[in-house]
Amino acid sequence: MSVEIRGLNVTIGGHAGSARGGSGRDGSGRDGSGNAVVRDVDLTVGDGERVGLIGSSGSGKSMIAKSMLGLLPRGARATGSIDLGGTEVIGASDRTLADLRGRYVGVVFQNPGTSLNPVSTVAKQIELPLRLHYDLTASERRDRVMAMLDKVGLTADMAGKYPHELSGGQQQRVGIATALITSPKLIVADEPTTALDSIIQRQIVDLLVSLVDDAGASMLFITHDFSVLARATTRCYVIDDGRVAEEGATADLLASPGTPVARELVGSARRLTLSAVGSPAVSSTVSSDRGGAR
Amino acid sequence: MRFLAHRLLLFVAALFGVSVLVFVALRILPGDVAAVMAGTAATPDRIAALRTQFGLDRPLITQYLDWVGGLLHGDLGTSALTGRAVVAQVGQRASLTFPLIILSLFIALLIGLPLGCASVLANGRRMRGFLHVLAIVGGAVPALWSGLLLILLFSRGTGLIGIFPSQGFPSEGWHNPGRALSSLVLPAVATGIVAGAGIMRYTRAAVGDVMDGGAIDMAMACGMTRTQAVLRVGLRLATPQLVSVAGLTFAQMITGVMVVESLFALPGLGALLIGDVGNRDLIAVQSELFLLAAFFLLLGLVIDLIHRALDPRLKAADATGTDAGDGTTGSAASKGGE
Repeated sequence: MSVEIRGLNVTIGGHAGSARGGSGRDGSGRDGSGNAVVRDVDLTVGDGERVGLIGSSGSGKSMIAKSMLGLLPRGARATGSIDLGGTEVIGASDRTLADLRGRYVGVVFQNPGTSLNPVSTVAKQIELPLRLHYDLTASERRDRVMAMLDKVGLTADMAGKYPHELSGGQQQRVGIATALITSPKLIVADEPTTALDSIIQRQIVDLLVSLVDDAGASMLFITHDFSVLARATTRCYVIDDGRVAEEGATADLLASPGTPVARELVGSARRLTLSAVGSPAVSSTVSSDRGGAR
Repeated sequence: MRFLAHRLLLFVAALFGVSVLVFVALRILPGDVAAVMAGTAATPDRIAALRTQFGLDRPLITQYLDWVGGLLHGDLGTSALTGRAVVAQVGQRASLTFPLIILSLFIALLIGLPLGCASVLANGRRMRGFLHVLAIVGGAVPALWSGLLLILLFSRGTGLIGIFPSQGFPSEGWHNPGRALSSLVLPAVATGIVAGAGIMRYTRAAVGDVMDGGAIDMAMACGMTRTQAVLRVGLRLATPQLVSVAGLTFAQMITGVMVVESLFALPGLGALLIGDVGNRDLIAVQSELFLLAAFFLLLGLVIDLIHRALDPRLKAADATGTDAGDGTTGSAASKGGE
């Protein structure tokens, strides 16, 4: 599924009401209509393309994703145009957006520990999009859930477990399974590895990339870590203060970042993680999280 | 099972504590129980006779064991005033008060839950403000005043629209359920409005807290609309808190409905307790206080069990706490590499 964003602006507060969380910028550019957290953003994702959004915390990248999904917090307002596979998202009804989400657009959240329903078992969580969008029998849903559990590297006995009984990496695998169970055409991954340690980060990114490529879906991958972005995407946008600061092929940006913010992000990634990626200890990491629930 | 056994053990221990507290409180307070029961004009002979009649001349431990033994067999003693068994008196009054409380709570939930959810879902500032004011006003209206208003509006005979009886309870009790129920409607609405406003505020707060978590966004990302996510996920996740609030409201109503019972001339538990205290029927008061305390404890136990059934994380927390010593819990995932 292709994505075309033109002139996207997101404001929080002002006449639309008070903010209820959100990306948490400290809001320069306040005017009568609230704090502008995303400003005049143009962005495209082609069919089957893996595109990254990178920026420091509070730069507005998550707000761009939330705008695409119709999940902006109360009090936030988006203007401009967001075209998801021919459907205009800005101004669309709650029903239209709900029909898109889960069916054509899968979402992987940053912190599965808080986003997974704590009173739903793994199987019920993963089958929720199927229940909402497809008229399947219980056994058909069960079969699909079991197949998906296997795909994401979880054992069948985890189907009956609750999120708190799983480790962080296993929870994120459940999140990925939930996002992919309906074979959506677009995956929006909003910092899916931030809450994980570096070894599990790599496993999760590799899993996500392989599943997305196998499904022929597009992916918008949001992160503040270039080392993760390098594995997950082929093209990326650098977001700074709510604006697109730079865009281009991920490999090129990594090799020669053109803007100060991109240079800073690349430098940080090199100093903290990139040197470790090639080390034998990390390279030999296997998918050791099958089974072993808490 | 271990949790249940532990909670039941605590329940029994608390019951024992309450029984001692009630018994001792009525004995160590200044004044002779028999003298208090006999009244200020009683002769010493009359006081002595009463003391013998109710076994108050026996050692305290014997009296206590006798009383507790009776409780275990369902014998709460005999009222000094009416000569009737206390259990029969309490049973008769409870058959009015408990249906009244249940009906009041039902009305309160009917008002509070939908309006609480509507407060969370309301997009416009004006609507949110209106619902906020509604909750404050509803909670501030005294049940006595709303009861009077309901009598003026809906009572047979004096009301603007005479639909429901406003005074008394049918003498045949629940043998005619329709009549009995209709006599409870106005008092239940009067109590339910106040309690409903409270439940509305709690619902708004509890569901609002859940909205700030990620589970709602996740539900919406799976394909729910915001309304569906609030009603199907938000309300479900807030249910343990709301069960606690409903339980507390229920407990408060046992004594809270006394005013409304008095206004609508309903012979409920509150009137019985006040009458027995006023008439110095201390043997009856002793058993009635114990029953009330036992009911509150039972309510707490039931709420605990419901919480556990509703939230699987509590089981894990209990298991971790119980098994922390043997190291078998909570380490498997880390051993697995994630």
